Amino acid sequence: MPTVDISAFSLALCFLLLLIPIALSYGVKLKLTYITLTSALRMTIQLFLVGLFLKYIFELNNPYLNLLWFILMIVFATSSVLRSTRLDKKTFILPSFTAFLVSNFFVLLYFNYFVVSLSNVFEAKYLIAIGGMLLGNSLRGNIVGIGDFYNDIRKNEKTYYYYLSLGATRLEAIIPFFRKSLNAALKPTIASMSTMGIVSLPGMMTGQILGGSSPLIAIKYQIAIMVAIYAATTLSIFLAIVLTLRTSFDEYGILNRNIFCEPKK
Amino acid sequence: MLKFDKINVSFNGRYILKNFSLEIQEKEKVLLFGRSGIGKSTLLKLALGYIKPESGKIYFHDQPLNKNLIWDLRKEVAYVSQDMEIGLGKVKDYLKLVFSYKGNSHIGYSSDKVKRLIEYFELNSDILMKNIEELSGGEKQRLMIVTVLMLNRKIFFLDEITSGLDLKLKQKVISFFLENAEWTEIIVSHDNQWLSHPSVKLIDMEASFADS
Repeated sequence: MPTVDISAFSLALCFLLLLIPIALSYGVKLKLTYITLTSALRMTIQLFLVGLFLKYIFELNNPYLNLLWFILMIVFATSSVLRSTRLDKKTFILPSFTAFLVSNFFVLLYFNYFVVSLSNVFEAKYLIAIGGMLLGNSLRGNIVGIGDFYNDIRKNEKTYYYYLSLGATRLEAIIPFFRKSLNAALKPTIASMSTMGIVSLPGMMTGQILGGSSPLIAIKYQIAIMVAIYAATTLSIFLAIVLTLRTSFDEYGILNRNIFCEPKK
Repeated sequence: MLKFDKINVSFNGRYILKNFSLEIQEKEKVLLFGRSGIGKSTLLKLALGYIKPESGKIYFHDQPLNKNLIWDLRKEVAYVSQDMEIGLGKVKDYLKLVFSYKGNSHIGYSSDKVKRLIEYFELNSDILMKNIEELSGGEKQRLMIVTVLMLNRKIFFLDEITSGLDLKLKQKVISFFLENAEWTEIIVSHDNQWLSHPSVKLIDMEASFADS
């Protein structure tokens, strides 16, 4: 059975549900009415545009175009990580981009070739949809991973210097911070793996079931994608930190202050 | 052994060290003296490479400090400072970490020696099983002293190491460091007890500041 289409009228009916938060916001003076309306509007416009665009891309299914779209997504992901972590764009953009590209591309191709056994690993549906899921998740991990790592060293500079004075090499002094941030970054993914299916039915599974797949196929995809997300996230955080170490510390092992964007005084 | 040559350091447009020179010979015990903010601790941090001078040079064993020598210096100098933090976790694990460093691997970890030092500096015998965050300021200072003594270093940078201790313990720590003729020491302290010792050479930072 094909998925039931939602007509424009039905979508309008769905928007009526927004009256609940708006009424509440008005009643309790949450002052969220304006932002609720503008956010809902933005979402609608963005998704319609992406929908149109993807429809076009899926019909063309040109490997180069698909790849270009995937790379564009990585550029957006990288700049979004740097914006949230308040790290200097100039220093970090290239190494972070490389880390994202290498890790996500590797896991994605492995997934498409060995797991889904596609004859064309650049097939638009898989490259863009699966790639987007990997990226979106490793993005969250990276914001915590790389952001925590550098901010933690800065915050605990006295401990870091102390390790150096005890004869630690730069790497030896960094490793406790590296472990800590990688740990914090991966915990949410690990937790969501272990509660999968009980606490939440993931979006991908819901989508496939509505799209007519048997739940048994849907769970297999979900298991595979969770493992892939975990691998891509770990690899991308690891690479992002390793690739930025060289420029972030000087030859004396001291953290460069100009890697942080500070609010102008 | 350690030489500061015409060092200039300023912070927010104000000079902390201006044209400052000082030479420390092997086995000397030098006490840096002067009001707070005059750059005593800064001098130690300069030598450890945590801060770089705007101009001037630092020499270690007659060689200018550079990106290679700094790592050797950090393996030779024992730095104990109130301004440093040990980190978190069990004391035992922290010591294990320090001894896991490649630069320290030639020194065997001796649990007998730790036990003796813990007793000598009047720390609780169960301190190894405690968490660092449970220790008082004075206990942390003594734990840092125990750590560097375990590492068998001969050059000491001691920044306010007696400030958190009671009078009797102060005397004990001071005698311990000043009665060892082999060690080279740079001491920063507001405690007068350091002065009463004949081996101490006093450097008045106020005077050297006024001279410049």
